[in-house]
Parts: sequence; C-alpha cells; structure tokens
Amino acid sequence: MTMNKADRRFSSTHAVRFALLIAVALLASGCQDIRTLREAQEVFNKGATLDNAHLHGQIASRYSSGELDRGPFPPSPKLYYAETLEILAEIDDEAITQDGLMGSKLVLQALAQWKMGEYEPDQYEEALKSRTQALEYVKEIDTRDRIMMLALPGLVRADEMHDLATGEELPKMSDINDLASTGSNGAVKPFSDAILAAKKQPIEIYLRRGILAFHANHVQALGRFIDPPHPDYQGDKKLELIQSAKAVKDNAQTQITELLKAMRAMQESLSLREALFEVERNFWAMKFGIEPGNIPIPQ
Amino acid sequence: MISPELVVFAIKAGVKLAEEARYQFVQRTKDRELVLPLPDIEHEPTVIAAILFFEEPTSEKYLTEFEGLKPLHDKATGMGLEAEEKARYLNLYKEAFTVSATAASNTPVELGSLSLPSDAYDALVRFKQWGMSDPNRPKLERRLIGLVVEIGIDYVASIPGTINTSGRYGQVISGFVQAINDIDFQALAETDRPLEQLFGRLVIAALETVGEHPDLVTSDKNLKELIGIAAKGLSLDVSEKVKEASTTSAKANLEDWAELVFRSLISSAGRKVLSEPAKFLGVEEEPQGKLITNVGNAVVDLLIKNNELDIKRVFGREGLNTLIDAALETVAEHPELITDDKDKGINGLVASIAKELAKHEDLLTPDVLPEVSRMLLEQTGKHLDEIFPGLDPDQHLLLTATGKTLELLGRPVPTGSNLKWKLSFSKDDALVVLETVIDEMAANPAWLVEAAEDIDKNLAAALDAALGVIRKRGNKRLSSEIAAQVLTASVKAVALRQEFLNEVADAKPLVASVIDVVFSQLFKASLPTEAQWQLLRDDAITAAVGISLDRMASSTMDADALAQLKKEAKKQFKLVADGGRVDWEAFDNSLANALPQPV
Repeated sequence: MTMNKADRRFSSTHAVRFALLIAVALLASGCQDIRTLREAQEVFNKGATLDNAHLHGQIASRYSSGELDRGPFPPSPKLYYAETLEILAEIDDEAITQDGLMGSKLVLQALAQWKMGEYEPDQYEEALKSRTQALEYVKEIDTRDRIMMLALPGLVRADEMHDLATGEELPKMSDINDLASTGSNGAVKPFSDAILAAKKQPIEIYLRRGILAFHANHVQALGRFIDPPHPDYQGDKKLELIQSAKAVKDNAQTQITELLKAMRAMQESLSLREALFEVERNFWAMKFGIEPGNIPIPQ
Repeated sequence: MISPELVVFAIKAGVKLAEEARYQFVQRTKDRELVLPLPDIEHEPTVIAAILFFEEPTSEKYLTEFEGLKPLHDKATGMGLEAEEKARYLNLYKEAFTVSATAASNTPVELGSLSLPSDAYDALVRFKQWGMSDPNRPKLERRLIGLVVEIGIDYVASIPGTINTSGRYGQVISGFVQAINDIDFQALAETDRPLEQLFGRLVIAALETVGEHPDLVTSDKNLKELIGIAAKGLSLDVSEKVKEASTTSAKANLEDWAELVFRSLISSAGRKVLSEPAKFLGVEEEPQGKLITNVGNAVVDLLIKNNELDIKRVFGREGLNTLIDAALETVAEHPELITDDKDKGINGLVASIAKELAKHEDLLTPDVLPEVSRMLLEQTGKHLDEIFPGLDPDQHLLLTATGKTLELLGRPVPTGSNLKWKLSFSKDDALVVLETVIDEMAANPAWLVEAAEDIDKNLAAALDAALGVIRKRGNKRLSSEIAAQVLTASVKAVALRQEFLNEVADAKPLVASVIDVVFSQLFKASLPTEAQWQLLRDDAITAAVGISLDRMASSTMDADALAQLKKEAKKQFKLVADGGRVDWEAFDNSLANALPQPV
C-alpha cells in the first residue's frame, strides 16, 4: 500500500525526529571519556598558549584577547599542565582504548609531563615512559602525534639543557656534552628523526624551532663558564670554549636558514605574514650572536 | 499514523547516525588542534652571544664605531667582566644588533619591537593531526555525505512510492536502490566498510554525471539499469581490490580512480545503451550487463597493473571517455573478448595497450595516448582473428608494430654521431606515422596472415632503414613533420607492395634505397641556393618521394629499376640546379618511361 503525499510528509517528519532522538540517546550514553579527553586537550592548550606567550613576549595581548582566562599573575603554565594530568587520570583507559583514543591520551600525558619537568624533574622520566606507551598506539605515520613522540626525547633534553643553563649551581661540562651528543641519547637526533618523518608537513616548522631552542640553551650553558668568570676557564681554555660555542652558533645558523625555508614553502598554506620572517630570523639570530644580514630571507 | 516501515527505517537510521556521530567525534578528537609549547629559553641576551657577535668578521666594525665597546669586548674574551661592565656590554650588543638588523631589513628595526601581534605566531604553534596535504588524513566530510546518501537510499528502499522514477535523478537513485537490494551489506559490514563508502561516492558521481548529460535521460528504464549494473559490478570488484591494497594511500587512489571510471562509463555507455539497449545491456548467453562491467573493471585494473604509468595523469576525464568508448564499441561487436582469464581478452588488451604505450611516454603525451589506444582498439575489433590471435595480448600484431614504431621514432640521435638530421619527432608526427602503420597493417589482413611472424620485424626494419636515410641525408631544412610524412609514405608503399622490403642493390630494404636516391639529390650540398629554394620546399620533398615510390611500385622493383631511378632523378634535379624550373609532371613522366616494367 502506498501513502499519499501529505501523509508521507507528516510521517517522514516524525521518522526523522525519532531517528535523531535515537542517535542522540545512543551518543550521549557512551561519550563521557571522549569528552574528558577533549577537556584535557583544552586545558593543555591554555598552558601551551601561556608558555608561547612568554616566549613571544605577548602575555598582555593574550590576556586581553581572553585566551588566557585565569591563574595568578604572573601566570604560570604549570597550573594548566598539572590540571591536564589530573583530568587525564580520570579517564577510563579501557573505554578510550575501544574508541581508538588511548594513543591520543598518552601523547597528551607525555607532553604535559614533559612541561611539568621544569618544576618537577622526575616528570621528564615519566614523560619518556608515557611516550614509549604512546608509540604502541600511535601507529599512523605522518601524524602529528607520532611525530611529536619521535621528537619528545629531544624536547625533554632541550629543557634539561635549559635547566643546566639557568640552574643555581654551575653545571657539569660532561652533562652538557652528553645532551649535545649527536647520538641517539643526545637531543638533536630525535628532532632529526621527527623532521624526516614530518615530510614537509607544517609541524616541521615547530621541530626546527625546537632544535634552535636546544642550541640556544646549549650556547647559554657554555656561557656560564665565562660569565661570571670561572678560574678553570681562562686563557686558551676560554678561547676553546668560545670556539665550541661558535660551532653551535654555526649549526644554529644553518637551522635558522632551514626554518625560514620551511616557512617560505608553507607561507601560503599557513597564511604566514611576511613580517614574521624577519622577526623570526632576528629573534633567533640574537640568541646566538649572528649578524641578521648573514641569514638572507629566502624568497 | 506512522507506518511500521517508517518506524523500522527510523530505528535503523538512528543507529547509523549514532554510530557515525561517534566515529566523527572520535576522529575529530584525535585530529583536534594542539598548541605545542617550545622548550624553555631565556629572553635576555647573554655575554657569550655578544662575544660571538663581535667576533664575527662582518661585525668587527662595531668595536670601533661604538665608543667604549672594544675594551669591554677584550675584557669579556679575556679575564671576564664585572657586573656593571656586563650590563654596558650587553646594552651595546643590543644596539649593535639593532643596527645590524636594520641594515638587513627593508624597514627600521627598533629595540624592543621584535614581537608581532598575538595571532601572527599561531600557525607556528597550533597543529592538527594531519597536514592538509596528507593523503592519509580521514576524509570526514566525505564519510558524512556517504552516510546521508545511505540513509536516503534506506528510506527509498523502505518506503514504496517515495520517488518519481521517471525523472532524471529518480532514475539514478532507483538504479542504485535496485543494485543495493542484491548486495549483502550485512555480511560486508562485518569485515570492512569500503563498499558502503564507495557506493556513496558512486551515487553522487552518478547524480552529477546525469546532471551534466541531460541527453542521457529518457523515459525508458535503460538508464536505471545501466547505473545499477555499473555501480554494482564496479563497486564489488573495486571493494575487493581496496581490501587488498596495502596502504591507505593506495586504497584512496583506487577509489578515486574507480569513481572516475564510473563517471566515464555512465556518460560513454549511456548513449550507446540508449541507442542499442539489447547490445549493451545483454550479452548473449552471459549475465546481463557483463559487457559494461567487464570494460569498467578492465579500466580500473589499469591502476593496479601498471607501475610505470601515472594512469590518472595520462587518462584524464576526456582520455578515459575515449578509451572506454572505444573499448565498449569493440567488445559490443565482439563479445568473445570477454573472458574469465584476466590476462586475455579485453582485460589483457587494455592493460597491454597502456603498458606498451607507457614505455614511450616521452613521445606520447597524455593527450595523444588515449587516441592511440582508441585506434588500436578500433582496428582490433575490425580484424580480430588476424590481429589478436588467441585473444593473447602478447601476440597482438598491431600492438607489437605500434611498440616498435614508437621505439624507433623516440630513439634519440646518438651524441657525437655525424648524422646530419638531428631533430626529434613531435607527438603529432608520431601520431601521423602511427595512424598510418595501424591503418595500413589493418587494411591488409591477408598480408598480416601471410607474414604474421615477421611482419613487425620487416616493417620495423623498413622504417628503421628509411629513418636512417633521413638522418644521414637530411639537414636542418627538413622539418620533423615532413620527415614523418616521408616515413608515412614508406609505410604506405610497403603496404602496397611487399617487394619494397627486399634488398635489391645495397644492404637496405628497397623502400629506403628509393628515399636514399631522392634525398641524395635533394639535399646535395653543392646545389645552388636558387635550386635549394625550389627543391627543399615541404611540398617538393613529399612530391619527389611520393612520385619515386609510386613509379617504383609499378616497375620491376629490382636493381635495374633503382639504377634508372637514380639516373632520372639526377637528370631532373640537374636541370633545376642549372637554373630551370622544377617540373614534377615531367619527372613523373620520365620515370614512367625509364623504369623497367614487369612483363
């Protein structure tokens, strides 16, 4: 039996409402853990935004734009990273594994633990453990998460170098050299591996900035043996140390050029402002004492 | 009152929507943008950075330009700076750096103004899971479209009389619903979902194609049948192949290609089906529509079977239409080309044509390749038994001859050789010669049968020798277009008289000897400029070669005839060299009289 047009329209409206009701009911009943993960992502993003605002000297504008909405002043990203870890701890691992999101959770956990390392150094180790677990789940190559996990040891070591460069006590030169090693236990190799895996995706820009941050910390850590003057680093020994810093600087100059090239290649797709090229070049050049004119901006 | 069918439909649709919404929610969570923090770095400049800056040869100048800097720098590199000295040293570093940055910039750089508005850095710190160019990223929107279409089809299938099947789009949907009814979706869904997704894409492709070609729509049921048959046949075949593909990129490529093939199939087959439905929708003693699905699947296979050729680039939408059109026509005339052996019949032939032509990609640009494929398919259909014995592509005479011809035309002139004519053939030249080779070979089926084993070798030898003469005798006045016409004339001559392949005087086929005689006179270096003006015109070269080959074909075709040709050519061209006017009629008559005639 076929329906007439009016009956059909009336019935169809009811059918659509009914279908949507079923869909909403089914969806609402099983997505709590996904929502918790999303909340953790949001909190982490706020911490990272604050961190980057410190880096780029934009705390005030980020606050006035409403992006940074709470915390004490001067604000600390630590609160956000700690909260991220607290929220992630609420997630039911089994449920989120079934949805295929365990990798996403572990990646976020590793990133938050890494950034907590500045305040609680044990968290660096925890971050690397989470990374090992995350790599078991994050199998899709070319993805941000996998690339970040490849780079994470480099990021952790870059922050460890920062700790050496800014700590209260004079660092051991052997610790600096260990972090600066080009082998798999050094900071640079994980970045290089990640850049290779990134295959010219936008994240390459982040990774190159990460290497530069490591080099900047390396130069600064070496500088601690000069300023204030150190009795063991005088005369030839001091010149030798300046030569070591110059080698890092030369390396950094190459990295800045590569960073600018990557930015140029992706300028259109990422809508990068032209002015950003000079700002970025000068920002890094000043950290290493490079004459800006020695790093041409690629066209 | 809601009918029971509608209730069942609504429950099914609700469950599907919930499943899809959850999938989308998960994927979007995974793909969510993350702000990535950098490792910590200090903002204030350091003494070591200042030392490195002033130690650079290019910035040593600041040591003298800035008052008090040099002693500070010397102390910094020597015994070290006191706190107050350090502050001054770092201030001078900032100033010098600013001067340096301004010099390197188009605009003045001021201290403390190195940062940009807050959003300028966003692209450097916010990253999604997949880059936009990443082929592996999930195509979420496409999935949603697929779902909407799927629910729409469910609705149409569940509720009788919901669409007007006589309309243009109604026929498309109706065709799909009919095809879907025969497929066990439940069983397929337990393993994978590619078929469902592919089907959704094909529905859209069909709607768009029919929208683009309103002429396809008639009041009869043939369009509906065609769409149903093509969609079902293609998607079942492709979904199997998608499962076998090893990477997500390969899977996506296959689906894209299948969609393109499907569009071509509907628009190409559509017109044929409308004019001859019995022929295209039913093959005698075969399941309905096997002809169409076979051609479609053969073309889909091109993507899998061909590693050397970028199939999608070579066969664009137009090229694919040409190929499918010709394949359908050929198979419709010769249903025996449909075989179960995928390496034979139409499957093997289409794959072999693409493979053979792919070897000559330098010569056959994408716009030519589909045309050559069409010529080969058409001629195959006309002389199937002679050209395509046993339906085995390895024994396809035209394909072999085509390959040899292309190899010859694309062969580069060896570097350092003393050959005078070094031009390369263009794609148009290649097409002219190929067309002649294919037409002439196909037009002489008896010749093909008699010389089956050696035909390609002989033809290639004749062409090779003719080209050798052209390269040796010609010069830059000879265009590649005319050289191609000379080769074409050679092929036609050989097709007319097989004796042109014999070696009568020198160690080359007679056809090449004739060209040698003509070219040795035309391109003689000692010819006065006025004579060259007359004899090296394009029409003069083709006339001289054409008349010589024609008259030789009517002669005894032996060494004596060749000697007479040489004598008459010399005589005729000497007249021109001496200031006379070129007279092709006189040349033709003199050859008619001088060349010995068979008894």
